[in-house]
Amino acid sequence: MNAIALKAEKRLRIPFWGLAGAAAAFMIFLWPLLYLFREAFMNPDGGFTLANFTQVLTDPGFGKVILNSVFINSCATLLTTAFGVCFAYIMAYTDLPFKKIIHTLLLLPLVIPSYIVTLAWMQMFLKSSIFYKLTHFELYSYGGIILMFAVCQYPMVYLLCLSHFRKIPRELEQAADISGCGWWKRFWKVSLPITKGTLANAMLLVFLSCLDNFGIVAFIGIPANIQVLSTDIYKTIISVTDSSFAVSAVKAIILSIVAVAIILLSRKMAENAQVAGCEKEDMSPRLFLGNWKYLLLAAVGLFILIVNIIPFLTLAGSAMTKAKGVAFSPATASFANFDKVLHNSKCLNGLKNSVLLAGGTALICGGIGVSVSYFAERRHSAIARKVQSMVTFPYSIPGIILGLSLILTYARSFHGVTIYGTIWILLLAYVIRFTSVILRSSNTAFAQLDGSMEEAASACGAGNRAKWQRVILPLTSGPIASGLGMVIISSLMELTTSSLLWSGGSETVGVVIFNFTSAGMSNLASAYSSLILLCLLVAAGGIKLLSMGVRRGKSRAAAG
Amino acid sequence: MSTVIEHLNMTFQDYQALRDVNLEIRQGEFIAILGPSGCGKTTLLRLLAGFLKPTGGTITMDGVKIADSQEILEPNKRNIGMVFQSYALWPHMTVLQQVMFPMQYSRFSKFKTDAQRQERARAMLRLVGMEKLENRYPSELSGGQKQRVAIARALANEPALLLMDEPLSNLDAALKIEMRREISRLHREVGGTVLYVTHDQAEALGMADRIVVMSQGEIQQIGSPKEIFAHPANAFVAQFVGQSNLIRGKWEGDQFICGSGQTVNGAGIPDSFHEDQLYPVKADAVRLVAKDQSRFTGKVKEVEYQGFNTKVIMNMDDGNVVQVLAGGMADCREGMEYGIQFA
Repeated sequence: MNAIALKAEKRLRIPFWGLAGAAAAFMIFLWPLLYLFREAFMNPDGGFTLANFTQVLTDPGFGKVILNSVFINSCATLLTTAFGVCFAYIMAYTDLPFKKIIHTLLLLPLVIPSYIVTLAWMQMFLKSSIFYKLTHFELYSYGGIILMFAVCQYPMVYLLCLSHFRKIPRELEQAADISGCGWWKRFWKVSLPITKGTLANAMLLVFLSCLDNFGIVAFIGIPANIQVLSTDIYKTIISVTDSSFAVSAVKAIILSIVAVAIILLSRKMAENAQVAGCEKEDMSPRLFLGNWKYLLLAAVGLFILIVNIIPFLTLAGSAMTKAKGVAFSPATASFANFDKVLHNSKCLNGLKNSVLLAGGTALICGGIGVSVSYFAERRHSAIARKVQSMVTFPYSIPGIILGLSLILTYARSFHGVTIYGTIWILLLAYVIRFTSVILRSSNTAFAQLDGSMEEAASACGAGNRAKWQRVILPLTSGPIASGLGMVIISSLMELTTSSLLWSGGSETVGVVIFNFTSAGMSNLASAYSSLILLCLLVAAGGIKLLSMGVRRGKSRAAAG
Repeated sequence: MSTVIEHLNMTFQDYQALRDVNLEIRQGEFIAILGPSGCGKTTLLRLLAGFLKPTGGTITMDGVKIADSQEILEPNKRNIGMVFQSYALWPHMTVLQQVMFPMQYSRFSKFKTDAQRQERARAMLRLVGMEKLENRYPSELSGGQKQRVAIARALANEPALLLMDEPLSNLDAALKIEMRREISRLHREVGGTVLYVTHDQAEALGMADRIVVMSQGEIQQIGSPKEIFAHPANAFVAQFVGQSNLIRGKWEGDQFICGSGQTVNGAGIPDSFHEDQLYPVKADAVRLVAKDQSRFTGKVKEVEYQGFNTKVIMNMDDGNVVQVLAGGMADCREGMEYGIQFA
């Protein structure tokens, strides 16, 4: 029977493709990082040396950079956690009205790039602004950086804690009540200790994300002359001296050791995090505030107004003023900046590049992520498991390091092809950074899909194509679509690696805003950012609608 | 269409799930594979479906080899239907879509146009009594309804071999009996060859033309339900299917001796019982008699009143434990002493 002959051929092919895939994954995802490692130990002649390490470690400037990073990140982590826990508690426990809309508004910073948030706050705290006159708060300072970190990152803590609080069984707290605790004691002695593991994990992730951040520290830190690890490495790279690559490689290694250590620690924390008991989230309120809830509503509303609404109105306002540093007034409003932006080839090119990159990245990441996840989770392929860990590794490495290692690896022509200086290196960087996002959501999807679904299709005579089209993809589309959405938004927002890898013609949205801001053209930056925000709003709305449709299908799947 | 299984072996890492299995499934036959969990029955079914590759032996369908330790023909290239233990209905398809699916994609489909497929799907749904619910999704169906859809889907394409993997194990007791009748009726009406895996002896005895009893990866006995029940080939079958007492004693030729010299005529009892020095006897084939009328005596350990019968468990003086079904009105109490006679 020729079907059997066909099968024989396939049997020979599968390990070959598996090994070829593993080799390709290694070259794409890990090789540049190894290359970076090598660079750190190399003297200009190509021999082995530790001189780069001694140079970096004995440089008092670098010591100051490390101290800055540790100080800023620690404070930012504490402030972020305070915001996150506070809102998670309010949303999980109290009978606050309008919870749905407040929840959505609280999550805004997740979809707005941190550099646009920072730009908006920079406009809000201009010396001429009401806010500055009222508070005299200097944004270009340690405090400013810490505040911006907290403003951009509290949703991460909020989401993790919210789900955890909702899973705490009511009885645990009622037992505390009966033992005579008031609500504060109950929170302090029962609710919070149970949340310890989740909280520790969330704090580590925040710390890591601070290390990784480039937008905030570049926009505020560089003008204020406050250097942290990522900006210091950036400056070392672009200074282009003889040893700049070697020195930055050493710094990158130090930074990535810290990052990997934090990731490992956070994994341990997540493993040890006590599951409070309930699998399902209990959505009903536990704390009834009576009329006090309106006071709370006012307070929460004020926070959202100041943190998530006014900055962007200021941003739009600043986009409509003619000169930098002038406060917005309706009388002098003009659309001249928008006009300039819309006729600026760099702006249009940036938007086009970002959209193309986001689409391409989603497509490639989706292909790699879904297939690797399928072979690892469904077929229990050992090779695919290895590929999976290779693909996820670069996600824990700060973007600036990835950018550096790509420069080092691809600056020279690679077997006759040069991708450095073209848009392709950006695509490569995004794929390396974001494949792990889609891989994780595919893993969730395949974990939810019962094996018999696929077998039933085979037993009904469906070939691979029909099986994927009619059964596997429809049943996994929910998590995969939300993963793709995450990849698209992350790619559109990317600044860290782009700021190192862009070149004339391949600028992205982030790079254009970064360049406008560093050149002091904050009105143009504001106008461009406002337009981008509008696009993001539309895109996020679309994704929301899409996921609502998918969720309907999923509830059906869960019940089935 | 017949399926022949020869010297089939299946080893998972260091665990042998199937050991030299030989079986011929004839056209139109309803075969039940019966055995406790872990006996290899599901492995056998999955090998027939093509989800697993055997480590030894061959499977031949209609003269074409479809599996050996080198190659297997993929499930979608075999002319089979399958009913899964969990039903495996696709949550995103309506009842009608589920039943039409195999006709759309199977290479063996005889239904070429959508109209033919719909007509056939509706006919199948009528057959299982689900024609009014064709637009429902699986989440809107009860367990029994899901089961009917799964059966309609598996039968829609007139598969040469229908595989059923413990299809009734997720249903409650009353529904189980109803569906058992239903499946038998479908087999009579539709015909076709069925391989039915179960651990429930009542299902196997009630539905199958032939039963294959398996234990620890090996076939213990193949035969009609009556043969299996009345003439178990060995101690395992006697206990698992026949729920017989296995009395320890001593064989002397055709005579079995137990207790303090009670003899039974054991002509026709298979050799394997002789080797183990065991005598199989069903609970309703032994009688309690006064202590002095038998040389096989003991004390009542437990009495369980069951309505028509009373089940009496006897601790015999020689260490045997024997279950006896006495009449419903039997006046036994714990600790009383009786003798046992074989009917």
